[in-house]
Amino acid sequence: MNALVLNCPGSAVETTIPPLRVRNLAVSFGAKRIFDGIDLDVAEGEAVSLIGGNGSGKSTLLRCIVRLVEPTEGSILIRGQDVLGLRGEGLRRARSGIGFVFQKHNLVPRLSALSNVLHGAQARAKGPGVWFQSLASSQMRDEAMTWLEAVGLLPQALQRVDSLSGGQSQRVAIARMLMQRPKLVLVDEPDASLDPKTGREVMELLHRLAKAKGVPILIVSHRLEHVKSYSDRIIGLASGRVALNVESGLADPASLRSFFEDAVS
Amino acid sequence: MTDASRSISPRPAIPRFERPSAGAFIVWVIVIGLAVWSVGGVGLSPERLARGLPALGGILNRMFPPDLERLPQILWSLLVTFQMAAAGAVLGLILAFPLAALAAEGVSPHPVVRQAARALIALFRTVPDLVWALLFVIAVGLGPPAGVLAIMVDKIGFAGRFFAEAMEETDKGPREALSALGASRIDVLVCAIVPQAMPSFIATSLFSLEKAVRGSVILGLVGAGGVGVELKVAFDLFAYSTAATIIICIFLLVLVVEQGSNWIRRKLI
Repeated sequence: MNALVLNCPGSAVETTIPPLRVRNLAVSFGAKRIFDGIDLDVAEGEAVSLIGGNGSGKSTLLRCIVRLVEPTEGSILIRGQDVLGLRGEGLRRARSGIGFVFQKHNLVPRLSALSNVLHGAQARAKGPGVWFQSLASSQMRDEAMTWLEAVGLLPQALQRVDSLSGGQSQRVAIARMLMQRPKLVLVDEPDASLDPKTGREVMELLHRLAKAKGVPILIVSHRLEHVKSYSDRIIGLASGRVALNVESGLADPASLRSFFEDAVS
Repeated sequence: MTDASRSISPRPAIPRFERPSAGAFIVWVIVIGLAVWSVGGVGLSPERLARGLPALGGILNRMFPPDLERLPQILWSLLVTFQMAAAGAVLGLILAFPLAALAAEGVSPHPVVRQAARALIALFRTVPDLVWALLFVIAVGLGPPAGVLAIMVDKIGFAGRFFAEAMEETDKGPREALSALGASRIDVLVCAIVPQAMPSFIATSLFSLEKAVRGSVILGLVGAGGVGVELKVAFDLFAYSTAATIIICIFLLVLVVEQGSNWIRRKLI
């Protein structure tokens, strides 16, 4: 168990802090409340699916964790460190340990797959060596090629990403995330704009790579079969609250479906 | 009457033109009034135009055939004009880039910095290059250096605005992705913004060069060097056939630069 263990002074009780701990988190955009009182933990090596209807705040919750959205209140502990108080270099350092795979992959068009993967190293290195593959050191290039190979895109290394298919682009985004060497992975509907077969392949790849490295992963998905197949635990959001928190093996299909029907409606 | 005809209500007549609102009507009156007032104010009358056309015809008549006696000197001045334009444009574009980054929303480090950079770009853009040339002729003396500086400042204003707009219009997704993984502000600018804005940067840069070549001819008229000086001297001495040679040379230079930049645009974008 790699989870951080804190010995509380004056207490005989050991408090184990999981890699991701969210407490009493709230987000409002002006007068519009997105969610509040959100508590959730993701344990070491655990795959957790986040489900809920459209507008329930799943993506916003993920974006809060990397501070792309500022929460109204609450705390987010990444391996024991509260990220909400961080600024500048401290925030950069905290973000560098969190891999984020976006719904629309968010790759840089006009650049090659290899350069896009190389960008993942900006989490730990600075300067021209992590800007473009042509300027990168042999070691960096080799590592980026290794991850492209892991996602099955070695032949497309020098191809521009705007010429790749949706599934291939999502794989490049996964390779970029792996290049980051993350200690926590957040995934926002990677299967949303992909056909069922490609979506399943992408989810399988993510699941396999995360499990192989023992990295905890929090996934937002709108596909019931993916949620059941690729997660250890399922958390459901409804009316701005955590309405479900269950091990995936014990999840009642009917209650899960109600979250997805809500999403469709 | 059948059921079908009863169910169809008469189609309302749709007016061909919309009646303008009171506000629109007032704006139109102001615009037309301003145009009439301006034309009257500058003393442009049909009689004056009628008198001017034969005089223009006379000048054109004296321009042809063009006098090629000073062609070598004219070509040399034309080369200086091109060098002035190229040097001014390149220096202007180089300096425009960081200023544009400071002026672009979402890229600039602070709103105060952004406003200051925008104000500087607006100043460089709104003051005509001819005025900058007059200032630099006083500052650094007659000749091409003054022209280069005038073109440089003008291009900082011109390209700075378009570079900033191009940066602002880039897709925010890649920027967010790099920010989320801990990339620095410089990394995001170089890796996510510049590649996306590159087609726009290239188009603006080539247009700046074309504009600089056209502008550099005029700058010579106020002593900022190049073929403009030759043109002014030719007109001052009523050597219209020499002026015709200079105008044809300028036309060919502008044409070559425009065709060249079109070719580069097609190859790079």
